[in-house]
Amino acid sequence: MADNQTKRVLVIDDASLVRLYYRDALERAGFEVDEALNGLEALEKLMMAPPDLLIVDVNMPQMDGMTFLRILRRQPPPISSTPALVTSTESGVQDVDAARAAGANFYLTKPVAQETLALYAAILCGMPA
Amino acid sequence: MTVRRSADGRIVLEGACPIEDAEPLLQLLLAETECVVDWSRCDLAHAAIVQILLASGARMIGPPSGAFLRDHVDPALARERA
Amino acid sequence: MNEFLEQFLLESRELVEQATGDLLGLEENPQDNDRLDSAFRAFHTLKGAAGIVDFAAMGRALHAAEDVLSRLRNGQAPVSAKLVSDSLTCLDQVVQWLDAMQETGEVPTDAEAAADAIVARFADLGKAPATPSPPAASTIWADALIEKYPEPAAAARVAIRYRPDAECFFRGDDPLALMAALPGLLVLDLASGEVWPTLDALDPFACQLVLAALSTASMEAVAAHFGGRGDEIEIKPLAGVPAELTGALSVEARRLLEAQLLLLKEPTVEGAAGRMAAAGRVAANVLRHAGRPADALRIEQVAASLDALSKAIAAVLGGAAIAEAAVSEAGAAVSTQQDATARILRVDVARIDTLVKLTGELTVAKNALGYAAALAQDGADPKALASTLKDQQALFERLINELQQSVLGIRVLPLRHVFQRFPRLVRDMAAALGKSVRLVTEGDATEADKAVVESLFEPLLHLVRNALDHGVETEQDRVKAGKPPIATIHLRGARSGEHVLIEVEDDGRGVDLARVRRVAAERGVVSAEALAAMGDAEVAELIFAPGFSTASEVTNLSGRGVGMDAVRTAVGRLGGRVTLENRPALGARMRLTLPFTLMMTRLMTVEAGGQMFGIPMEAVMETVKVAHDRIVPVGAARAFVLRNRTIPLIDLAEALGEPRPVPPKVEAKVVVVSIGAELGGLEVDRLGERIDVMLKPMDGLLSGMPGIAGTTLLGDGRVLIVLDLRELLQ
Repeated sequence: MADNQTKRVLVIDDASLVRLYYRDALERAGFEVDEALNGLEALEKLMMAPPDLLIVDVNMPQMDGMTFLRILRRQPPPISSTPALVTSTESGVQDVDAARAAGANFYLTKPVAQETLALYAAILCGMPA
Repeated sequence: MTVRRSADGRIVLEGACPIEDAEPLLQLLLAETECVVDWSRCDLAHAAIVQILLASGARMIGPPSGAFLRDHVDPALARERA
Repeated sequence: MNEFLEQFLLESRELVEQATGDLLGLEENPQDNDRLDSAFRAFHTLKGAAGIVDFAAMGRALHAAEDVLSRLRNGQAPVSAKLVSDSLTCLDQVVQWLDAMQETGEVPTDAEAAADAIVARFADLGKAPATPSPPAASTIWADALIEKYPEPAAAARVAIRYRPDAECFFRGDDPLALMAALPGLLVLDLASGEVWPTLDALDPFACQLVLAALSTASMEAVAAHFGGRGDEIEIKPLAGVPAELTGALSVEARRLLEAQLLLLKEPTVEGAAGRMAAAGRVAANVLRHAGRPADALRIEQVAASLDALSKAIAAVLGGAAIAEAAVSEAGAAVSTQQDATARILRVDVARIDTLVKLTGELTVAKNALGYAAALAQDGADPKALASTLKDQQALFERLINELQQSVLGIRVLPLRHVFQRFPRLVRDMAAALGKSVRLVTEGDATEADKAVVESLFEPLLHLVRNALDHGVETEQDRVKAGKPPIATIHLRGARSGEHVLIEVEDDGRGVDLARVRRVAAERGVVSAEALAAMGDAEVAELIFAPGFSTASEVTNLSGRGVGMDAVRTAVGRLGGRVTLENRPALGARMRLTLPFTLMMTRLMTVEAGGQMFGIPMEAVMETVKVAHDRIVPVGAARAFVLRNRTIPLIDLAEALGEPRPVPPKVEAKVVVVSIGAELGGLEVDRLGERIDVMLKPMDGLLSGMPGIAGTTLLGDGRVLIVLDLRELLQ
């Protein structure tokens, strides 16, 4: 994982508008962006090409974010250690705790400003400032 | 032989000189009052070797063939003598 | 090892313990002159001892510390936290030397460098602050370097000065090669640290070079290149290198690191390895983003250990360098290695006197017995003889009991022996976790059997770690909850009849019952119905259940697993038990109840009727296989013949009320035992191995059962019933 390679982010959210919003923010910050509509699709994409960062929404049909994360953390390395940022409309302590227990590295409450997303993505991927 | 005395009396350092050459080099330098050290075919030298060269102030025939010795150590030795 | 050295090691360790206690006390109360005095005297005596065994390096190191302490006593400088830390580090080094001497039986010959390092630490302490030391003094060399090489200096980001220690060649180091590999090297400067001797006096194997350089690489890269050389390397960033790059963390970075710490605290359920790896990866990335690649590398190096990773992240957040946390970890490791078992005991002279007295009385009893034997030979009246012998037997019995008590009494140690390691450990662990804790010990004079005291350290360490990790909240949380900001952990010891009680109590948040319920359900530790029916106290006890873990620290406890179940098993094997008193939001108290004295017995284990039994080895004569047609009924009982002797046969499973599920085989496996002059045979299903155990004192329902001397726990957690053969065969 050389520091000067382009970092890949996989955005997992069932709302197309959200995916578009995140893609815009991340591409302008120099990331390569891929998308998945739910946890199941995300797992398929993960197996094919491991990204440097996952941005996961909590509520999705077919496989929600928490289930996806739990399955993710049970995979063999290096997939199991992929950094995962959870985004959700909920802001309660129990929601943050639940996400962490499932294996999230960090939690942001929606709506997430584009600059905030880009900044955290950069740090989570280890890109120099 | 990485350190030896040549037929015409010069001390020659050749190839990669390890720490084991330190003692022999010192003996060779002590044997004569005016010494000349030829390291033009020296690629690498242990710090102990360079320390002796520095301490002895002997006249050097070079430049050494090794890149680090040539670019950095040789100039450093020259400056100390100046 | 010569006797002299043994004594030196014994006394030195005691002095180190004393000095440690004094230093910690001094840290808490810098005005305490008694502590200061006592610490000074300890260092002074240690220094003297080092001189006696001719350990010059240790003497030098201690002299440096003693010097500074002396200045403090004279009021020439104030007590500071750094001074206490440095003095403690000096003691850590002394302990390492003592351990080495214990192993090899000789004074270490390679201690000079370490002693130099200690001396250097103290060198800038305690100087009279009349004139503030010029801050640039240490970088004059860098300015000189810039002057000497102005062109390269303009392009350089760092200046480096490397003074390898004189012995480095013997360690296989080549300082020149190290410089050759320096990234971004612009110019190399070579000089001597001292005046060159004449050539005939030059030692070719002593390094007196001073190597300086200018480089375009970043400070971090250079630091990583020279990693681990401590005082030998000085690196100075040159003008133009932004200070921000040398390490401050942004708000976002801090938040992310804190989140990873919390992630690491999640219970060890499925996916824990992935979570830990993800946390490590993110932490390293955060540091890379902050321009600290060396720290990122260090995080990656410790990422396989949950403990070390948590500590490292906590250290970064706390502003300390990760290296320091590793050092304090090493310090804690030093103190755990030190003295796993005391091979030498300090014994009260009075106890030895008692033994001498008993020896005298036994000699008298022996002579009386000889007299009785002579009487018997001369044909004395049998009845009178029997009476005399009976009296003498009673006398012997009394004397032997007293002897036993006395000897066991010599094996006792005060709890202080294990308690005293905790203040330092708690201090280091609390610092690494970023929590404010004070430790209060009580009853450390309470005595218990040496074996118990020595085996207590690991379980107690685990309980204390647990309390610090999970029980104690951060200062902010405590203040928010209206609690005093500094948490208190009590470590108490007391004697209660035949037992010793030890308590670890904290005023933290107590066991999180909701989380215990959740984890227990997730891990399937109890069924959902059972869980629903449990009251709060029962739920709290679930932390002891096998298969339930609150953190994936690896400990050495039972080798079987981690967590509270290991503590319970370890204490159980000592013949004791652990109970928990949980007060949600207010704290928790762990109580260990242990027997005061322990009897070690060698047993042969056997299995009968599905239960494991232990038979005292001293009673076992032999084991035989007896064909079933050789077993004859005698009244309601059975017997068999062995070498012309009729031996009663008891089916062990039946005798203890266990049903006999398996039909009798053709041959019976019999253990022949002796009680006094009588022999008996015990029929068993299987013969097991021989083990040494400490018997758990009987209490509760089992104490009334005949034939049972005690119980103990096997390594795999099964209960072993130890037989009382006399009762059994009556």
